[in-house]
Amino acid sequence: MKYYIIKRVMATFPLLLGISFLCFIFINLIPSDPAEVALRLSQVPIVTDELLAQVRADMGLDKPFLMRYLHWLGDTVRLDFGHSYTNPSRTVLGELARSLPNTLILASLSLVLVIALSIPIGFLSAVYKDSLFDRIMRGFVFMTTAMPSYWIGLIFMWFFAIKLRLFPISGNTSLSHFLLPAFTVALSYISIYIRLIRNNMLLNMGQDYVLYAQVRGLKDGMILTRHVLKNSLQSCITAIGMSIPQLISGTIVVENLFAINGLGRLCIASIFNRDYPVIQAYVLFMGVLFILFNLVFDIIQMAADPRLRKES
Amino acid sequence: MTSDNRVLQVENLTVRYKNRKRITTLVDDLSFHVDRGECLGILGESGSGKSMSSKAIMGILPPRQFDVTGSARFHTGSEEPTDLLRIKKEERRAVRGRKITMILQNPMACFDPLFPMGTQMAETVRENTETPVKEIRGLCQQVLKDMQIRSPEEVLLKYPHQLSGGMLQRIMIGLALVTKPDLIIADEPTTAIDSITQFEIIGELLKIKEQGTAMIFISHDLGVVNRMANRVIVMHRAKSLQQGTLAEIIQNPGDEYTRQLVNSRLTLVDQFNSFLREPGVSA
Amino acid sequence: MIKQFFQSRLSIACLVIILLFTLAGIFAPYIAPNDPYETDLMNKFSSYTREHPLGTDQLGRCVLSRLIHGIRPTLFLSLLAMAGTITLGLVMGILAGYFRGWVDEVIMRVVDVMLSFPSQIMILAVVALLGIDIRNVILANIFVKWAWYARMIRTTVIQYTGKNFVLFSKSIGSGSPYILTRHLLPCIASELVVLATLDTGWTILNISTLSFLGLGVQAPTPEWGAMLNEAKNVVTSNPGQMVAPGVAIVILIAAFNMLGDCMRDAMDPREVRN
Repeated sequence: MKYYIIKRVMATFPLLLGISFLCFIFINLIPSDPAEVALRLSQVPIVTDELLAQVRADMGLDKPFLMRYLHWLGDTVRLDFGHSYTNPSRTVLGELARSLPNTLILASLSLVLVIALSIPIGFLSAVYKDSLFDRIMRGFVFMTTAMPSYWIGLIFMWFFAIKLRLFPISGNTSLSHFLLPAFTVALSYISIYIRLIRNNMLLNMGQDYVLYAQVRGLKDGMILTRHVLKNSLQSCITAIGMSIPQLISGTIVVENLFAINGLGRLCIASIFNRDYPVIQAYVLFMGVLFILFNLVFDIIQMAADPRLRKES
Repeated sequence: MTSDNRVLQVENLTVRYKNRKRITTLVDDLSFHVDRGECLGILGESGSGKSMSSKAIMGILPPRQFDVTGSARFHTGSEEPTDLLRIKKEERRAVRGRKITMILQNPMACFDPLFPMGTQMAETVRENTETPVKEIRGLCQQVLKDMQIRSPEEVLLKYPHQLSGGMLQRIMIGLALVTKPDLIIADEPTTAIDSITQFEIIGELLKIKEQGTAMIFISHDLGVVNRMANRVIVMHRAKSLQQGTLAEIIQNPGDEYTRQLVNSRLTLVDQFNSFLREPGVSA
Repeated sequence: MIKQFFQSRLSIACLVIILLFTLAGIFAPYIAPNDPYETDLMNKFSSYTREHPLGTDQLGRCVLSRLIHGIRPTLFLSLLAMAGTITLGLVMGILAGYFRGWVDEVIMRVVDVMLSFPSQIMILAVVALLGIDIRNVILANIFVKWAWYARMIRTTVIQYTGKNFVLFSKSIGSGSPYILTRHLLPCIASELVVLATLDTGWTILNISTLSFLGLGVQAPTPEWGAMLNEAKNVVTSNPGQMVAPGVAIVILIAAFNMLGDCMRDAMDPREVRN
């Protein structure tokens, strides 16, 4: 177990390095010259070639590629992503920090919805397989996987906010602003997890230990909740854990649709404004988030399984 | 043969499997009975319907896919016999695991991998007996001791994957005995384990038989059935071909399949015996 | 497998739907009742008339005509992206699986990094880098998806290179390209088709989402995601405008998903029972 965790953590480093390298290449491939941008930001009136060369030397841009990467990596580890191009008075870190809370509210609301709905529905669908309920839910799952989330959001917006006037249309000033967007985000993920849990339940229900539990005279309800559900959830731990970073990155469309000032909206706005340092930091942040969550939940899944816990 | 001794009387048991368009008959018009203190062997190759019939009697076939007809009258104590195929789901569950217990093949897969043995044994005991909560732990240990398992306290804390197949099989037998059932069904209890363990398991089962509990012993192995059973049913392709004592069947196989079965087995035994005789050991 | 596949009415229906959309896209100029770019501000937000069967949008353009012309970017660009993805994945996967050694090592490490990255974010990064343009969206899609195919194809190639008929072919002196095309490709084909069909739905969703965000197909060009973006701006005054393009997307994606499911079932009979 200890050996496994160490091995797993060690294997994460090359991945993190790979992603940081990708991001560094990204900032190096962009069409604008960082030295020129720096001069523009400090509002130098006339940009001469000598001045450019000097700034390049100051910024270390004349050093070899690898040196620049290491330098950049050092800054990044200290969370120094530089300044925004479009708004030079602001640091990239500050921009991200300002947008993060809204995205986190949205993502955690969606997470609650996803877990609260997908586990019971998946469970009931498997227990009452081929019943009316199961067939309706299968239809629901099929439809939602074919529906673009922005369209679902539009329909919600029209029906609940415009027609019924139950919720505000857009913005992020109160909790009620977040409910419709959260439900929109949740809807596309719920179907994935309903299917996952249902399939896992069915797989477990065919196992010998369920047959023997029946033979031992245990009540059906007890077999299903205590044994089958626990085993099914056990094998979904990583998948359910990964829904957290997925929800954080999956808010892009909804944030733009409902005008919520979160990370996703910041990212799209930065793409339009060619604000490369912000995009780069966002991409790096998401990449690291995915890798770390994957690591943590893999280890949790491992620790939760007695077959893997005690060995080695 | 008086009906006082009767434990189970199965008549015209038929099991059909419904699959979209096709209906497959898995057990066709099977009738048999088991008396107190008797071991009935059901002999047949895999897919002959021998396991299906026991599962149908236990009521653990999903009713949506399986269609079970016939009757299985179960006599317990001095009460009126109950038809296991007709009683309510809850009543049937009360019989299952308490009055009729079962030993399955493939013991490695029969316990939930996420719970330690102690928890799984305790939930079985709690469900099927009126043992006070404080005594459950002790009873579980006693079950393990009876099954000749060393250091029962440790075994209770272990997870299924940490125990051997033979050990798990013995725990299963122990659990089948703990409720003092009227009937034990052993479904291929020796198939998935190695031959030395097999020998020990048969020993345990023979002890149960000597104690006088009625038993149905299902196997494809003529030799094992020979050791266990008083009477035998030969099953082939969902039908029962012949019933009687093993000696009767061997001497007078009534149909082609039984004859083949007996012959192939006898040839093997003869060969084995002739090997033994060759060096000049007196028979 | 093919026989079983064609016995299912559902899969035939899906095929027919996809075929109809394709034909409508190819012959768009002949089928569409009006010019999709022709604006008529006097006649905006008109409801269903004989002249405009699905009404007109905020600039008075015929919604049906825009819908039909929108098939081209929506469906054909997705198919193009899929073709690119499969080609790149196939080349990389076969290189890694057939030659092994350091080639395999390098390709698979790149694949690992690609797969650990969330695909949506990666697409955004590529579009940000290359600039907002539909061509870049396609490139981004290929860039993001190829790793999945490379890994799958590599596994299959490794599985089959150990099989006797390939070893035999090698021993009688057939060259590598011959072995690859004659023996390995047919083995991969069926699995590839299933995966590609399921992914086509995903790609359509992706490209239209980017167009909806304004990062893909640009304004006057009719594309379903872009049309929904325009509908978003008038959702208070004319909510009906979001119905047609949305329904069209759902039908098309559902058809691809269902077709993929049917093909998988036909390939693997165990799945049917679930």
